[in-house]
Amino acid sequence: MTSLTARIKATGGRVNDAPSSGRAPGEPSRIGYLYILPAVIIYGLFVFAPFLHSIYLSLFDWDGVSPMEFVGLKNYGAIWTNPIFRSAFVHSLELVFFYTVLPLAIGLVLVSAIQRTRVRGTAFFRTALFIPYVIAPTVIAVIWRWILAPKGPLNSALDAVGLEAISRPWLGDFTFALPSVGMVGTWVMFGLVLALLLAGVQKIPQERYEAARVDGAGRWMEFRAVTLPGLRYEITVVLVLTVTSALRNFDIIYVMTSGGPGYATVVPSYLVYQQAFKVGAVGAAAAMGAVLVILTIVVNLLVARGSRGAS
Amino acid sequence: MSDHPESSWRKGTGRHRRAHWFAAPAIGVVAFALAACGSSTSSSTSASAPATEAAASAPASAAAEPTTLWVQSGNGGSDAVLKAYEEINAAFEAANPGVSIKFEVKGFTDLVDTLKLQLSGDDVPDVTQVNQGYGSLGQLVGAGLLSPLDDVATAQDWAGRQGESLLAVNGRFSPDGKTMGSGDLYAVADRGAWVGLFMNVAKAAELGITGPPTTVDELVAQMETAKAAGVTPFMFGASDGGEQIWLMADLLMADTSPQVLTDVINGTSEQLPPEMLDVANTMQDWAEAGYFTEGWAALTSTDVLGMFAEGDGLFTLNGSWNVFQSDTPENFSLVPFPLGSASELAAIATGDLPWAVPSKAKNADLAKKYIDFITGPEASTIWIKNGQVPASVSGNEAQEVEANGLVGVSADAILQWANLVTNGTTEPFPDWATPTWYDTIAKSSTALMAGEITPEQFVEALQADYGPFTAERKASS
Repeated sequence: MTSLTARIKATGGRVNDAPSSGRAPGEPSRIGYLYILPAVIIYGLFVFAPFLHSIYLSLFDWDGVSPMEFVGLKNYGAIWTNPIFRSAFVHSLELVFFYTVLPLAIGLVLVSAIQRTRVRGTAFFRTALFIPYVIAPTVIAVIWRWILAPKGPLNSALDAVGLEAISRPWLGDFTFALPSVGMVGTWVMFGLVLALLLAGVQKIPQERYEAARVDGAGRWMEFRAVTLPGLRYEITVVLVLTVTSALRNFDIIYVMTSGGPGYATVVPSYLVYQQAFKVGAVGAAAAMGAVLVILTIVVNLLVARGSRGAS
Repeated sequence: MSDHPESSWRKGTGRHRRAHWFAAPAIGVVAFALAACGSSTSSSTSASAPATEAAASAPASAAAEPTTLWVQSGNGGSDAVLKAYEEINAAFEAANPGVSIKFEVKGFTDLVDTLKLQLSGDDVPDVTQVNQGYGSLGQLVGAGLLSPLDDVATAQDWAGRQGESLLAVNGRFSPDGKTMGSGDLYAVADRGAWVGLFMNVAKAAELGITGPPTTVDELVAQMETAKAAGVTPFMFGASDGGEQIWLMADLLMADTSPQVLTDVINGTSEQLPPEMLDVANTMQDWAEAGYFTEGWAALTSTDVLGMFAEGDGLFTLNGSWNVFQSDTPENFSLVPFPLGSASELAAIATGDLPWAVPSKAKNADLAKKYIDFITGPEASTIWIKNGQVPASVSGNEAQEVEANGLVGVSADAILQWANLVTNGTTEPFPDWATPTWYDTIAKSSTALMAGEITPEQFVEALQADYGPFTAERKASS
């Protein structure tokens, strides 16, 4: 900041609120747009333009090579009418529970517990818990496929302690496949959530806790009145990151179940891939991708609005 | 054959994809440089009739200037196959002075998923493997991205080598890409690929079973024997989809005739045969009877083949491309799946990914010569030496198998193939019928066998996919 002020002075005292510039006081200099231009160009070229192009493609029936046929909004209609497409979106909302709600709930409980007791080696635990988030999703999927295999370590462990009734082919079970994949998401996201919340909670002044205790607040009141409001920004970040991961989940599903058994774990991203590259229905894939992007944006806007409302 | 190397991508997709992205521009530069150097003289003659002569006289002209032939394979992950290609490529280079082969390897999924995009661009390989069926080869042919091979096929008598029905199955399409199995020849396979019943003969002997089942009824009886003795009757893995599709096709043939399956795949009628319901019932019955591997819905066909190779179970259904090495090879055999009567011989039997020449290939004539070479007699010997099944049948298979010391499933894969091509009916893969059928059958049959849907719902799901596609295809062709 200081260097910027220094530079403004160096250019002849032209500061932002100089009346001679013809701008209202406080309005930023137009030169600012030049600074963000490179980023805008790259973003526009590689993110925004392809996105618009795929919206354009979503209005056509196209196999990727033959001439395109304009079909209007038919591809969007199919997302609503095709039960498999529809179920994919339902599955991804179920995954939000495992990617967002569960890690956040566990994280908040642990953080409020840690807040009251000093744990030795916090740095070590923080690193260890963060590792799953750093590992490539494909690697995670391969590891968990093995753990959850019919004769894998999980079932062996269950059998060894006499819980044969619980052990099952997790990823081949129509009821348990989606929760199994979801729990992997919980495992991955939990470390990220805890790391963010721990950092946040350390920044809450101890005086507030002391004040709360003096006022006779119990554990629960202390959590509600001090910890939760103090973590508002961290929770917003967690929500945005985890909800986005849940909605766009592809790699873990692709490697662990490929949408199976049956259609039990089919999600929109998997269908985008399958429709575009396996079936050759580029228009349908583009429509699904567009809906997924819009859904993600809407959910994140709601999160942002919610967090602003809370403040 | 959208199924078989599904296992190989798991090992290699990332590596291949990365190799591809870096390699493609470099190869493009090479190809461009060569084109600029004047190799266009040979490609300009590739129109129609003169191509045969050009192909026949290619060595003389090729010797004059160094040419790089860009060959693209989708057999990534199959080390034995790639080793054989190395030998065959060396033999081709030796026979064609001045020609050097740039052999680019991709994983199966990688090749199939990117081929349309690649071939519609300008930098294309001279020869590439393609996937059969409406969804792959049909679309490429319909878009005019491949050159017909009929001139060289006729000149070199490919029908004499492999039989016309196999050629048709692997590579014939109407020019609009709407009718499979007839029309011009766009692709030809160098290796045979067929689906059969793997049997643990040592275990069978312990159970008092003397020979492979010759009918489905016998198969059921043998599975009951195994089950009673606590042996898993049928090693089955459904999570990759292939095995239940093959089982469905084999049961349909057994219940009706091979011709019914052919008609279904070729889309002769928009309505699936009524016997499909019997097949669905059988599949569900077998699952409920406990014939299949515990946890089959979470296992892939490759997982269970691995378990089978280590001695688990009595039978499994898999492809000749997946024959495994074993310390006790004599314990295993590979036979065609039994049909309704012992006298019938038919199996899903096509080529491995067939080879084609893209329309924009820069060395089209040399490319045809290359395909002719890898499907010819000299290559056959190299294929067998490397334990692979040559698509072309020479009649010398038995001697060559013995000379190379092949036993067990490796020998059966080659010998039964020759028998099928010569004396039986070769059937395409059922999922070639529609671009979405692989997924539809794979997912719906898992639900069927897990008891999530009824046999009637299963047939409905297949018909809902099959009917509209077949109707639309017929209407537009």
